Amino acid sequence: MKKKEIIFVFILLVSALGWLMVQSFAGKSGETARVDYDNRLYGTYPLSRERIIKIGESNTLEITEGKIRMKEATCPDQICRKQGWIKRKGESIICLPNKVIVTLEGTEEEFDGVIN
Amino acid sequence: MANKVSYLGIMTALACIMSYIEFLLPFSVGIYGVKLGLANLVIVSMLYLANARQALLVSVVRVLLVSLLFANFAVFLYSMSGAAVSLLVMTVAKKKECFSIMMVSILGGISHNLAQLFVAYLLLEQLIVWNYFPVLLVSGIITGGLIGYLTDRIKRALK
Repeated sequence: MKKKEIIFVFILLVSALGWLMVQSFAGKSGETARVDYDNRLYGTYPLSRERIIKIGESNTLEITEGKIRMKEATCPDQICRKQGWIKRKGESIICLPNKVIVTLEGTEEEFDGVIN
Repeated sequence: MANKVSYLGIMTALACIMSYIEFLLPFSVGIYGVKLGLANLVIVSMLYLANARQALLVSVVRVLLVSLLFANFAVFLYSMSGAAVSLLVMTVAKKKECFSIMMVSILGGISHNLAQLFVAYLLLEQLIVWNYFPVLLVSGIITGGLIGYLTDRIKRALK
């Protein structure tokens, strides 16, 4: 590889890693889980209450102690289940084969200040 | 003619076997889209040892066959978009003649993942899928780099 190419790839790598760091550390903890199933809103659930959520015949979610995970899924790759628990705002679990998307949302938007 | 048919047949079979090997031994790290893509070793090699048209032919037939054998329609869409876009990008990059094989392959890897992410966005209609962009960028660079390195070695060995 040429020097210029190595520099270009290095910059790409560093910016991607930086983006990842921001995503994983800057996040506040999520308040509610929004579940989309088959491109439609299936429901929103507070993370404060423990419960098991069945989605259709294919997936089961589990909420406990402010975090959520895919407990069971019928998809072949099981990536959503292996991902384990998530708890930060903006994190998500996506089961592509069954079209289930779980997104963690915070409370209302926070502003530094409002100017009229 | 017969020569060409048998050559393309062997290459297609090789690409399918590569997909099958990857299916048997998944290097899965638990994130969608992060996999080695061994079949692309055949495609990138063909881009350099044969030409873009033949590489495209083998790539399309391979995606069709592998999707029919092991996957469903959604997986077919992801594979096809990734394969088509990455081959297009790599063909253009190779034509420029200022990039090394590894760089061409890295660009292919990145564009492959980007295309699949875009298809995921179209299918799911959720902006959240773009959160996976940095992960897929890194994985595209690593897998593309590896495939490029191997292609370079293959090309030298066959010369």
